[in-house]
Amino acid sequence: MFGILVVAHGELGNLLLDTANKILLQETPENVFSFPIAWDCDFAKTKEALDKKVDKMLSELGSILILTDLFGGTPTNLAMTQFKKNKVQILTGVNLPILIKAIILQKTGVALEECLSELRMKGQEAIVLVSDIIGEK
Amino acid sequence: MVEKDVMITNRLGLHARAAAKLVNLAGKYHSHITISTEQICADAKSILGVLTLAAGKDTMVKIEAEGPDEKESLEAIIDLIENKFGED
Repeated sequence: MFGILVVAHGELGNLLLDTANKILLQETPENVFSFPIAWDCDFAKTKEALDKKVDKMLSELGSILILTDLFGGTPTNLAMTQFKKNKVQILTGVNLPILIKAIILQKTGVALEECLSELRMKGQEAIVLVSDIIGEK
Repeated sequence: MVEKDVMITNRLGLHARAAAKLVNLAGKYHSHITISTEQICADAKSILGVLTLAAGKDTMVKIEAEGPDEKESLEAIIDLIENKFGED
């Protein structure tokens, strides 16, 4: 099973995770974590803390999916320092559907590399311009 | 295969937590179960699938079940929807 780590600005990751758990009618599952990045964070110190978190998760789980909020932002830049092919993958632009799907896929025991395309696709599919469909209703 | 039409009558419609209850219930059965509106058909065991229906209050949906426990699963899901997902 791969671990999931949401790395995002401020409280966003905690709130996303809390919301996903409420929708899935569950407590925070094991092996799913949020790593909040403070607005005034020190990059080097925060990277050190993230290194430790990622190392701990890797030693326990073998692979990690890091979900970040904004490509180009500090959380993503920090996450990118952790990239290791087949071990640590990073998907940016996390939204609630991506997180929910990731938690569901994690439970199935599927390998990390096998679910990356599906997660990206689900996240994109979940963005709907209502005027595109409202005429069909 | 068994099927039945049912109206969504709870105030918030098939919103996220209602959808989660439906998906959890459907997941307890072995049958293949779908829920559909006139436009979209979704796997009743997929939370993101069920949410794509965007089924608000007073939307008619069709539940179809096929498999070893199709009758029980259909009845249970119809019950859940008719009981407004335990809401209101």
